Amino acid sequence: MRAELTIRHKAGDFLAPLSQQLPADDRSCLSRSLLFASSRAWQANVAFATETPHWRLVVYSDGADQWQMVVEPIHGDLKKACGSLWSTVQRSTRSLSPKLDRLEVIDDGTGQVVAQARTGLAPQVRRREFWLPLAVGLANGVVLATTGADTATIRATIPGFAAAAIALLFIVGDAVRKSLVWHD
Amino acid sequence: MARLAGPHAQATVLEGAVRSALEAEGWTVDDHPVIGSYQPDFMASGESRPDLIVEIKATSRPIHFASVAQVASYVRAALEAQPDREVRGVLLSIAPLTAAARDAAEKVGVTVLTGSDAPSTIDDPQVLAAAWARQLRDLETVPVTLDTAIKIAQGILERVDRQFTPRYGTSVAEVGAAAAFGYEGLIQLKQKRAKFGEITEPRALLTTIIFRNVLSEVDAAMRTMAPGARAHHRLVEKYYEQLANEEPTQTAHYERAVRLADEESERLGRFLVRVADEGAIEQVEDPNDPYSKVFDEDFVRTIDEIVEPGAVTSSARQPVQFTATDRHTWSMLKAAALSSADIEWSKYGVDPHIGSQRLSAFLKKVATVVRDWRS
Repeated sequence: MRAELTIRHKAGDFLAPLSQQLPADDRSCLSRSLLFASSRAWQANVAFATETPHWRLVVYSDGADQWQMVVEPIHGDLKKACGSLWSTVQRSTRSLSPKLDRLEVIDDGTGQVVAQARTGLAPQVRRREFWLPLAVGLANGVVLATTGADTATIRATIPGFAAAAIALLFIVGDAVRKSLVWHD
Repeated sequence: MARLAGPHAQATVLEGAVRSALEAEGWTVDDHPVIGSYQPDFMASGESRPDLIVEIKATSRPIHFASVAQVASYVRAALEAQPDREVRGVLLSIAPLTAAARDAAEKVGVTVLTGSDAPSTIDDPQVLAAAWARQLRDLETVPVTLDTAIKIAQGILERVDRQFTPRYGTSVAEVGAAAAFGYEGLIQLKQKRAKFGEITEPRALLTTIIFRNVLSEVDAAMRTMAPGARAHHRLVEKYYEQLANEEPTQTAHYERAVRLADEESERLGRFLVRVADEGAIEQVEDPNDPYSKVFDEDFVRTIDEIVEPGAVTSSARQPVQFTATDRHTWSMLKAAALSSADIEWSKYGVDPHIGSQRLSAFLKKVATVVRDWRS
């Protein structure tokens, strides 16, 4: 299992600030990778490679403003590793406005995509856990609009509106923070 | 191949079209074969031509370099299972390939064909697959198998190991890496064929390629692990070339080159030769050893005496004079418990860069006087 990321950014030095936030460049870790041990040529051709006890990261330049990365799990959760890496990318290269073009978890054996992650408002809205509070808030709005705004009705709709407001806050907050939304 | 709900139908159609096109060109196609722990889309085999491991990407997004690496790992697994066959990794993609990914594919020996490589429209999977199959049919083959390449690499690594280990006490060439050197050499041979056309002596060229790769790897390893040994080896190479040019009819140049390199290294004062000595660790002084302490105190007292103004000191070569600056430097070194790294130069109003130079000059003078003191 591995995660493939493609990140695009504004013109500027992307790798130097990112590598400062990661363990030192160590191409020798590629020899321990199922994917990259097939040829020593990778050691000379990748832009950066490093390893932590939990995951291995390989970075490849794909043009002036685009990078391709591979995250391989060692002892840990691949999705958490991707989340951690994406946070590091955002934190270290904020001035370059990094944009996640693609994040897919691939099965090494067959090459099948088993999960994908997206960022932005639309993927956040599609998170099903927020649908119920948003629906309740919407229904409350309909009730208020159709039955009139007497005190008792308004009081009764407050919990529903509060739940919808909190759900909206989470959605907007995660969208602004460009948090990853996973779907299989 | 990616099989998400959206592109699934397109992928299936393209997969079927490629299978039919390969069969039409004479290959026997094995669907999703199990190779080690992998399962690529196809394995196509035919008489007197290389087996093809085919992976299809039916998405419109540019190829990720990991997809290239994945096909390379399929090939490696297949070659490990059957080292006497020639196997070629092929990545077929509708999407265009970025220049960087194409470069990576060339470096690891993966053939990539994209929609733009086919002369026809990519809208028709049958036409596209047929165009790809024709291109695959015309791919060149290399008449050297991985098995041969690994044997060549093994021979070279053993030879380098035999030369280096007795002299430097370490084997920088790992014989276990023969498979990697063989595989890489084979890829480079294919690249040379693609660039220069037919090669008359592919085996000889492969041997040269692998030999250069091994030496380059050894040199890189020695640069960090044993810089003294690397310097000595470079001298050996220099003298070997010199002797071979001067006396082309003679043989035994190598031993003479080693001797000359030994002499020059000794003259330069470099540490070069590693000697196996099982008792060496016991000879390393323990800082808490009473003898060591007495020795250090004695050593300090001796230097105190020789740096005194008016002390008569001389070496075998010339008289040595210690200046006030030397005495100042010595007092700073003593204050730092004889650890030069701990001297706080700025505290004494001395620029650290200048302080290091003064210390170096002082120690050189001391060395000339006390060279044989301990014995």
